[in-house]
Amino acid sequence: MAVKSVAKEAEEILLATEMIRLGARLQVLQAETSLSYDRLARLYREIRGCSPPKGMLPFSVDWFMTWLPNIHSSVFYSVYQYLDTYTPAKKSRALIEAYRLYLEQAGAGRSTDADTEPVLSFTRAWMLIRFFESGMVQLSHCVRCTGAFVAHAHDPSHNFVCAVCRPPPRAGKTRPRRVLQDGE
Amino acid sequence: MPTTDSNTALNDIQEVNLSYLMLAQRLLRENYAAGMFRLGFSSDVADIILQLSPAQLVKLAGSSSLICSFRLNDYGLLSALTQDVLGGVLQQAHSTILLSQRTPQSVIEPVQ
Repeated sequence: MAVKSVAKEAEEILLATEMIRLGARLQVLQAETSLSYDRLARLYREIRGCSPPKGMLPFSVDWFMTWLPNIHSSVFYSVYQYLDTYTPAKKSRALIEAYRLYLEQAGAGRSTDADTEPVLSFTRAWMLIRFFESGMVQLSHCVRCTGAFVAHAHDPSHNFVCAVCRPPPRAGKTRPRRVLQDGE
Repeated sequence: MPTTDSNTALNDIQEVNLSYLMLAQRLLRENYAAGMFRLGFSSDVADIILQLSPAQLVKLAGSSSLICSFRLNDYGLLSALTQDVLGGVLQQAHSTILLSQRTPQSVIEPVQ
């Protein structure tokens, strides 16, 4: 086992702390830091005041394709991509910053009920990046607005029209937030 | 009379320039990465802006034309953004997506 650097560990604890505050599950922290499970669980309890949730992560790719989640994840991923590509914030730093910027954007339209869960949770945001890295999803460019949106990998994209330019007929008629309570 | 008119317009331009530069510096100081994202800057531009002294800022802002440019200057893109979908509730999200997918302004034009 390699000699552990205290400074490195402190850095990772701070990183984990930020991610827990944003709602990260333990699995995310384990993947992003080299801290032990016990330490992470203790840190989690200290910050959140409760035990970390158990069980599997929500790992359906299809969730990202449904109408509103698709728009939300496209917002998040384009911010993440910008940060990771052009700014000094890379990987997990980019993830945290992008998620903060996403929360800001997602909360912009609905100030009345501030304590509602965001459509895209931090853990899902992290999953989305994993899905991109493993090539399960791709960005398809809308032929109308040229924006790139999250889509299944290998989907034909030459006639792709995004969820904003062509919303499904019933979009916005039901209360969209309620629809998204499933999963996390 | 036309002189006073153009003078106030000129003042407005310089004021916008100065506010823009000061805002840019503030955003970058508070959070470099997020500031770059919000401004659409590449790191070389961000570094230069960040290093400008107040005197340099005022000088730069003193130009008679605007130093900040419209980031959505693409006909198709802008028309897609301004069309009314679902009463405009998605417009902010849409513009965030489109803005963040543009290549940042750079000192040297990036090769596409």
